[in-house]
Amino acid sequence: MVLKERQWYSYTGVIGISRDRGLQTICREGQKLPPVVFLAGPTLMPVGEAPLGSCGPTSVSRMLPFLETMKQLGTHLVIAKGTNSEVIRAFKQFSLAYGIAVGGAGAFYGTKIKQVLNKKYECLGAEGFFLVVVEELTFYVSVGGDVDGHFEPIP
Amino acid sequence: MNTYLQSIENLVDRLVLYPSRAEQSLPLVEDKTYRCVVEENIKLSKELRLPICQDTGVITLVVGHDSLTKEELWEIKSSFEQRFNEIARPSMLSSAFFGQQPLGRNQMCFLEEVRDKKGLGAIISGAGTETHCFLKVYPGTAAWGTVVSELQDWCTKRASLACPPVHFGVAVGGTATEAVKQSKLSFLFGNDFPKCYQLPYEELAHALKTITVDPLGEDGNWVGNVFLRVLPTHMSAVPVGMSFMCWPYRAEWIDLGT
Repeated sequence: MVLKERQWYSYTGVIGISRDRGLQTICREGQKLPPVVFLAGPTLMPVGEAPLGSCGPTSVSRMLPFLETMKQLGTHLVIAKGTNSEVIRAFKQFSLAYGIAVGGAGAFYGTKIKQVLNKKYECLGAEGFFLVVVEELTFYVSVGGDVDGHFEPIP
Repeated sequence: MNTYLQSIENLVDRLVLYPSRAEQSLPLVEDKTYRCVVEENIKLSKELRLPICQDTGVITLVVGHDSLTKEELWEIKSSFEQRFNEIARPSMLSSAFFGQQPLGRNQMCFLEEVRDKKGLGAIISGAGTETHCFLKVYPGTAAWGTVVSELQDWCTKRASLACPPVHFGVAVGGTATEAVKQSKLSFLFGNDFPKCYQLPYEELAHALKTITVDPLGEDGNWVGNVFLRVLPTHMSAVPVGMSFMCWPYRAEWIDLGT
């Protein structure tokens, strides 16, 4: 589906969750990544409705050095928080779509995770890698692109 | 002493689950969907006891007192850490760059004492705001307009990388260490400056409240409070510190009276 810029969407399907050192490790090892990656680090204190605990987006600005490799490893859409001209330029340079999630909304995004399919690098704690199923993960498209998956525009 | 210990549970819950000033940021949110998410987040955090933000950060505990002993302060700090670690995200970092290892439920807090107030407070410093702290020591001959202009430029480039609506705390004077600390404490205690700083404060607040700070990369202005604290300082070296606070406003103070 072509994600249009300046439009809110909700996504239902499989995503990868990682950040900082987890992402650095994946990129260094050349591990395959899913098409949609949510840059986040959960609290890992589950409650019934949130299997990884609170899990809001982290700042995209620290992850810009990994974008090129993420693209090569299979990612088409990155969801995180924060923007400025440097961020937008980086996503456009590597032809990656960028979705902005609401920063500081850990409880909201934590409850969007419905199932944990796989965990990697558990020794990194919150910075490990989590393959999960989400329902209606809300984000705003800052840099558009063509991404496979179930996306619903939010009016 | 008991009043301090009895306040800890309430303090931790307010910091992590339902910050008392988070809803004050809502009128500043310009986008309908963003606002719905923020409102739902506040509700879910309280109902499910899920941290309002996953980044429970590094904590500074602030104890206001004039008579506690070192042992009593240690007991308050230890009790706070124990309670906080029951709900906070386990940190990985015990020593910057080297010796990274899981801290599990043993994350410590930093302790600050204030003498002119009696109470217990704490400030969460998350990465999203901490990354954008500012510290510069100006010569005593520098113009206030230069300081305002540089702070405005700093915030323009960075504020949309944090979690807007954002609040800014600025401290002028003291030492470099004290300026940054006071900029943080402004989120607990607000403004504190001599009368002659009223107009400069208004100039600063206007400069920061009119910049483009929009988490969606549009042209909105999602700026809340601008605080200023001014301290006596060296005649030729004037430190200016600035800190950001994100919309959930995770700085809480419980007044324990006189």
